Amino acid sequence: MTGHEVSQVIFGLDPLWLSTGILIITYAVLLSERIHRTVVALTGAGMVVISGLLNQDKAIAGIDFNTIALLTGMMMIVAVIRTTGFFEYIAIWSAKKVKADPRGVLIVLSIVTAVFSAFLDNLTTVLLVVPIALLLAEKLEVTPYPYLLSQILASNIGGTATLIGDPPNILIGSATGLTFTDFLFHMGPVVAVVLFVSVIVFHVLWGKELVAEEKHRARIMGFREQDSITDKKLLVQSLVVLVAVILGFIIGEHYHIRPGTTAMTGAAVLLLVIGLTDTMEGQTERLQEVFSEVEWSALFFFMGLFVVVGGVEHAGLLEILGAKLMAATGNEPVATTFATLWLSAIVSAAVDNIPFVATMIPLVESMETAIGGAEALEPVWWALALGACFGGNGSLIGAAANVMVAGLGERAGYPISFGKFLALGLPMMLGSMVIATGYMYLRHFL
Amino acid sequence: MDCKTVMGPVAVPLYADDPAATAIDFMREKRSGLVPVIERDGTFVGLLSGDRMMHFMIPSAVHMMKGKKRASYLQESAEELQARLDRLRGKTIRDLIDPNVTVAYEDTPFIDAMMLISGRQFVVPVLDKEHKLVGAISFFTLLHYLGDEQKKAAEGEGGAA
Repeated sequence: MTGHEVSQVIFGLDPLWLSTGILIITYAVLLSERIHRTVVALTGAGMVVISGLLNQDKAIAGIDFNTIALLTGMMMIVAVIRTTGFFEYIAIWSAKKVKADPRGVLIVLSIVTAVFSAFLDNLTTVLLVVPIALLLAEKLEVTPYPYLLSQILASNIGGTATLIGDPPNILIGSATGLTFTDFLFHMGPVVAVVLFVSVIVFHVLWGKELVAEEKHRARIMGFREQDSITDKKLLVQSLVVLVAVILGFIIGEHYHIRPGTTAMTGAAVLLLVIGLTDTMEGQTERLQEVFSEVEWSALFFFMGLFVVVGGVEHAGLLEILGAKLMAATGNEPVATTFATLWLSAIVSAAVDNIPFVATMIPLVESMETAIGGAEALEPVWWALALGACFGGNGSLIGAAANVMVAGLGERAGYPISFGKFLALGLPMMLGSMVIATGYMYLRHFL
Repeated sequence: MDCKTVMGPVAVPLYADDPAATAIDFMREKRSGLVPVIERDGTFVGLLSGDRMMHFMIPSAVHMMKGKKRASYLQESAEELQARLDRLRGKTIRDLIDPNVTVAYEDTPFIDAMMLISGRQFVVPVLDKEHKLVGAISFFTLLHYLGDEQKKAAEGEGGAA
């Protein structure tokens, strides 16, 4: 059965104006943060279909199911790994490796979070590492603020490094066919530099106040990290699958196996392996647990967004905007790249970078011919990814991980105000953008 | 059958504006794991329970570890636990009570109180129309009530004989 075919736009309205109106209203309501973002995106998507901008088939075809499958698969794998206590183990082990020196703990936890954020999603990473950071700060009797703030910054920096680290990268990778290896080699070096500089800044900013008495450090040294592992067999199984999935991202690209397929297959294999020795009842229970950890609201947010953006794309708005941007930069690849880099960073600091990138993707695609082909356009894609990911550090609302850490801090009695974060996050973001600008110039235009 | 018929008397309540130290000492002396808390005018405020107090005795960061039922890696000394208890003593009882307690009224059908208890609220406070605490219901008040009823029935049969 085919979907309901709508041949004409409702009331004979101009599709361009109508789709633009729906996009602007959707953005405005998202910005107001008065209604849940998933409800806003789905309502916008409903309006696109009902108004006749897209019929149901075209709307569904506009959803990037590679992105949805990649996110779902990784969420399922992480849902299993997190129950094993692996994150706690690594965080405590790292803290003990630096003899529980608060400054050392600050640095190693930043690195741990950055690395985990690169290979898992950064929301899950902060959700698992920040409570440990708070616990360590409490035991060391030092202020937890440096740990909270550094965790936010490190998670956004680390997530920039790979295809799967941050949703904007997933969206860009899926739309362009840029592979896991492409991301790692293009984004990895600049992320390493930005992380290194950030860690030095953390040390300079907070090193002096992070001093703990020997007896308080002894509390941490008394932690038994091996006791955090709840199920060794499950840990081994899930880590093997995670490594296989990451290898699958790298190898699969040569066989045209898309990341969404790899992630979903990995999740299915993991459930299969751990279910082999379980009863049917146990398997059902495990499956329900894993599904309950999948962030369905985020997935439906993406789906709604794809349809809303599909509406403006179909009506030709993004082509017009792309042409205007190209005219403003004189069809010049260098100017277009740096304009995209800084625009992405500034906008992503102020609004959620996911809808922004989802809108920018077809816009950048439309510039391909004018800029001189796919090769000339590639730096623009990297600029979009770098700007959107690093831009998340510009304000407390710049990325979902920022809001999550602020919430955890508040629950622990250490609220992070918008201004307090801005005073640190904005200069850090600008610093990382200066590094990114230099990197892009050296890598693509020198 | 309503709650008024079955409810038992309430243990000495504590006042919400008293220091938490009063409640801690009270619970220790009376070995009580559940104390009702009221305002000075008798209005019911909530329950102070052992499990609620235990929540505060665990580092707050541990509660944030979603889905975790164990924190075996954490080796805490008596000194650390005492320090945490001492910090609690400085608060008021109001800061520590569980405000999300479901209450029953005197005319509430008893079956509803039973369903609340089976849903893991071990004690259901019973209030009058002015929200004053007048009694409480637990599994033990039910046992007492049924015991009393049996006794009354036996006495009635004995008298008749």
